[in-house]
Amino acid sequence: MQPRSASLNVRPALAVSVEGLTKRFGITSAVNDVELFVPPGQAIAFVGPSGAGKTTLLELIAGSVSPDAGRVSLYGQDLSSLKPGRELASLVGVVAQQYDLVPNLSALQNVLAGRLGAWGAWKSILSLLAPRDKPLAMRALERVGIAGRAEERAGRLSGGEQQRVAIARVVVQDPKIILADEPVSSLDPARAEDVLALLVSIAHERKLTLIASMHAIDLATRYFDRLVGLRNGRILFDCPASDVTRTDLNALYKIEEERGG
Amino acid sequence: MASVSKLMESRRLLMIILLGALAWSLASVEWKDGVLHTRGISALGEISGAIFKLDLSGETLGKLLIAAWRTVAYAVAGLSLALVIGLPLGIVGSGVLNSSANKRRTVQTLVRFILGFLRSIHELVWAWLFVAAIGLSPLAAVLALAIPYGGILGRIYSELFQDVPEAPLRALRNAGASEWRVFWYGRLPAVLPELIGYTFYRFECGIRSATVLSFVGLGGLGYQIGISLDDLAYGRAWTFILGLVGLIVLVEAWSATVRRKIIL
Repeated sequence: MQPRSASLNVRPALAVSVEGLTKRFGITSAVNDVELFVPPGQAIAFVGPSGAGKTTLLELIAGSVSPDAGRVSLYGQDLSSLKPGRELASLVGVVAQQYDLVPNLSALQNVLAGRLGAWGAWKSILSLLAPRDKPLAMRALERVGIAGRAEERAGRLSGGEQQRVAIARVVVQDPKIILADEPVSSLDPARAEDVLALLVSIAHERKLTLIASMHAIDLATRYFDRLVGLRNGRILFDCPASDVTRTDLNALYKIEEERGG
Repeated sequence: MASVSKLMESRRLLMIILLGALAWSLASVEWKDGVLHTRGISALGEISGAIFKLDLSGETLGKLLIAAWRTVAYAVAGLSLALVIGLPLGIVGSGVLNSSANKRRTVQTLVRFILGFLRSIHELVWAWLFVAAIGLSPLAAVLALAIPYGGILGRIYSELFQDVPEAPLRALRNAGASEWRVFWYGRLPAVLPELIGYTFYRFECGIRSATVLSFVGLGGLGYQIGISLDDLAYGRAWTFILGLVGLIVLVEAWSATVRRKIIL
């Protein structure tokens, strides 16, 4: 155990700090004793083979899964002490892989759903009939480039447009940290790059901390400040994206021979 | 594999029981004197022939209009009240507002019991009860419809609300929405087309139920059909029956338009 007093001084300055974090499913540990410190405004990507624990680590930081050991702090506040709902939503927003819009609601209403943590009960219900805070949502839709499709049902939008709506929703939610789980892996390469560039530049201009899990290593290298290589729930490397070497990647993705124990 | 063969076995057993029941019921019919007595056959011919001798007199058509109006009014009032009963019970009974599993199970069991009680008694029985209690008033018809239909709607609604894809709901929770808001923004929109379609289907059933209810003496199409049959005025009876068919077709067309608008 390292001395706690040393890290206490640093922690308030950090957007995310993860210490000794472990999560097991049955006997396999999805995340194993992970340490991670992320300063505000950084764009950081988790890379690694499938099953490496990228998604679980994101879920642990989002507070949607609770750890077996270790702790997560967001801006110096212990995650387990934050109330789910409004309090947590003001700190952390999530962009998922796909299929997380409500298909029968318009793009506009889906974006406004980002306000549900902040709105009162009546305002939420009334807004379904007569949208509240519409200019806010329209600005967000404009920023992601699909203001013209605001009234379209989300289910009728293309995959790329749906991800743009999801990004607009998190913009309207206005958290300090965005967690994105494979945000573009369901899109074709050209569209994937557009959407990822949009997400990264929005995070940058709003000075948000962005943590994403990435499948495509080339995109991760080009768009993120820092890469964290995960394998079998452990951190294999953690360095600026430009410093990641061929050897690092080979070690990250090498096929492991089946061996007992 | 063992369970499959067991299933097949129990199926075979069920089949044998059902065939036995059929044979027994056929054996209990008095075949010797004919299923229909001779007057029955001629009456049947007379009744079916009367479809070509519809009573289209002004008086009958006027009665048809009033009776149809009354039947629809019973159905609309009854189903509206059923909606008021069924929707809240359906929402609460689905358990989707409870995050603790224990509470959810308790609420589900309790509400399912209430809904089951409401719908296990047929509307005709409720009608007898209410006519006995409050007399031949429209209120009796409306209550008699509303109670079992409220039970049916509540049951179906609660199942609809439970069976919604999780991913969009999770996204709403991540955005800070409480379970109530997740309900309004995630669950309700997801099931709305199906919910409306099913409610319309039940409205159509409600019109048929209201027709039957009026035999109890509450007025409406069924009452008029009953009177016509008592008068042996089969042509007039057919006029009312075809009026009922027309009514159902109209409701069907209406529901189709509404559904098309919502589903897109």
